[in-house]
Amino acid sequence: MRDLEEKLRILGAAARYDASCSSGGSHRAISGARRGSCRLPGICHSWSDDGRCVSLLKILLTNQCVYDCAYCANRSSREVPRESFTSDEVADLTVNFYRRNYVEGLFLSSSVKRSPDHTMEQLLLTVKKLREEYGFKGYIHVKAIPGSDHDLIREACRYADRISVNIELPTEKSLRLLAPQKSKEDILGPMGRIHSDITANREERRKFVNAPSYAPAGQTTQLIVGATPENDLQIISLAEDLYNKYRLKRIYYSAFIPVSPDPRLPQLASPPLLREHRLYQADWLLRYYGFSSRELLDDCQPNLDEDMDPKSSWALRNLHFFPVEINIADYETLLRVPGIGVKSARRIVHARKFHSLGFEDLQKIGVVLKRAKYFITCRGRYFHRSEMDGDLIREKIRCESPAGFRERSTTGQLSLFEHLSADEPHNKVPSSITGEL
Amino acid sequence: MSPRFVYDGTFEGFLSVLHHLLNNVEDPEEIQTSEKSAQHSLWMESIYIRSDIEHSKNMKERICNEISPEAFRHIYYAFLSDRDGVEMDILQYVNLGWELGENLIYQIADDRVRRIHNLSAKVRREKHRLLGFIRFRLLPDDLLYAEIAPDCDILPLVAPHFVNRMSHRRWIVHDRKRKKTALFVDGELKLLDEEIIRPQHVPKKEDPYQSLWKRYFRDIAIWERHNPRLQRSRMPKKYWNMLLEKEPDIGG
Ligand code: SF4
Repeated sequence: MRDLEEKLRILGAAARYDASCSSGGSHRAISGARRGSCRLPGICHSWSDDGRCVSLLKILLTNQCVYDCAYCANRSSREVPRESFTSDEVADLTVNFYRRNYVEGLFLSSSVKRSPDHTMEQLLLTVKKLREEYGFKGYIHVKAIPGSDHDLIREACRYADRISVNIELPTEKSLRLLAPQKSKEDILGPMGRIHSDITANREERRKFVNAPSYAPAGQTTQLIVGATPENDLQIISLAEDLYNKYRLKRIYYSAFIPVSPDPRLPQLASPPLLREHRLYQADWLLRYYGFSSRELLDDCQPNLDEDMDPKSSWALRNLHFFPVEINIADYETLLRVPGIGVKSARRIVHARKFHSLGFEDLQKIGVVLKRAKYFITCRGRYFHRSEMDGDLIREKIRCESPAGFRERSTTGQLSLFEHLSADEPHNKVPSSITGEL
Repeated sequence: MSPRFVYDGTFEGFLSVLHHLLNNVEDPEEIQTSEKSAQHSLWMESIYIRSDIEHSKNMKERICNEISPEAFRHIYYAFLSDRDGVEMDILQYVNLGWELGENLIYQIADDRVRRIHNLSAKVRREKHRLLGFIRFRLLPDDLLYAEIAPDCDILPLVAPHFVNRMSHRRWIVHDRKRKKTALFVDGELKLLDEEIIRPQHVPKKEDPYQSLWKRYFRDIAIWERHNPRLQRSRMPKKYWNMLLEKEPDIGG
């Protein structure tokens, strides 16, 4: 047990920088739980001291690495204690944590020990054992190791619910600089192949109910923000491409935290958490609100506004789009109003069938009036009789932005981590929401 | 003076009251559990309605068919909130439902509807939280045991989740506050209105995975992102006493 405790300490701590299993506040159901086969955890079992949801046992199989990526705590040139789990140890921990309801399942990642193929083989062996020998029925998220044989990845997907290849950095140039042993092809290659496998598998399962499943919860990726000079436009356009091309379920953005000094890396006083937060908000707008990257940002304004959420910022640049009349605007138009989220837009569409809505109805429905009021009319009337004045509204919205954001610039803390769900009332407990993963 | 109706405190009992009211066109002043009404004055006339399985089934069907299954779910969840006076609020909701049918649930601007939906959301929230927060301990004989003390009566809502999750094991979830037990043995789930294990009789000895979990929990936080406020808002303090990882350390 002592030995196991030591390994868990090292390999748990080593895995914590990977955001893709627990990213602050952003846990939401993928609307993809269509089939019973698609197990999505959707349950947070705890929240760690940094406020991130803990839903899976997130560990590295090993932190012994032959690569030397500059941003990474486990890079080969760094002197840190190295450990490896056996696959039985991982399986045993997983079933025992699961049984006690500590976690929904396993998130298994790894450094590159010996070679990509060797590592992927070990990952595969572990998830296979967990399913076949230990009869584990919970959730499994496994990493695909860039540069490993696709047959190994493909077989791992038979056992895993979700798979991810980390894209790590937004451009090839940055990758070459900071992770010289990984190439763009090493990362995008498997992503593309996994995408075709998934598509083929979905097709097969439509025809044959008993066809084996293949990563039923899809694939995701993660990228590090703030280690390299790319702007938000580059990041958000990349995200848009990845969603369109590979149908990723999620992209996780992880604020860069310097772990070891390196001349290639920027000196940061604190991790760019606010930027990370704004990127999540923008990402949300891409996926659920019908925005495109070019609407949110352009070459004149390539970075997201730190002072307000990207939707308000878009609205202020597009005042001609407003006001929106609540009682007639269609769903897509409602979604563009700051302060109206997916849920409240849906509620408006339902509720107005019975009678026309006034401002106090909106409040009850869960619209954040203090933001929405500048952009809407109810029965033809404004909330205040004042004119729409961009500068004035901008000032007001800025002042209203939650205290947590302001505070952060001094303390590095972000106390409000709502990723756009701030637009919506608080009761959105993931019916499997927190779900996603 | 309109009467007070009294029932046994179960959901079936409450549906039986609704059934009675509907068939006798009565207008109650109050609907109360027998436990609560026992503490009350004798001034008001009370009528005890017996819990009747047929009547409650019939009521459920009518609500599902004539209003909507979604409305029925809201009613059930709101009922489990255990809030004082929720019965009369539900009655108003149902009465409005007979008029509006399936449109009832969209009238969220109406206070009668909003009140029930808010309660049902509260119950749902707590249920969802507890699905994550419940911690089982391994007792002798491979029995898994968990204790809870929730604000709302969510035991019947969370128990089925664990049936799916652990269908080959034996387990108990014990609501300390309401002295109720969900017991799963031999593939069968039983919801009991009693405590079958007294908390003080549960062996205190830690199983080794408990300390592994605590250790793990401590090591996964990134201190550069340290954020206790966010943690507390996600995981309110009132639940910490059921969370192993939030237990103060005793030595080691
Ligand atoms: S391969 Fe992975 S573990 Fe190894 S140094 Fe690079 S990022 Fe770190």
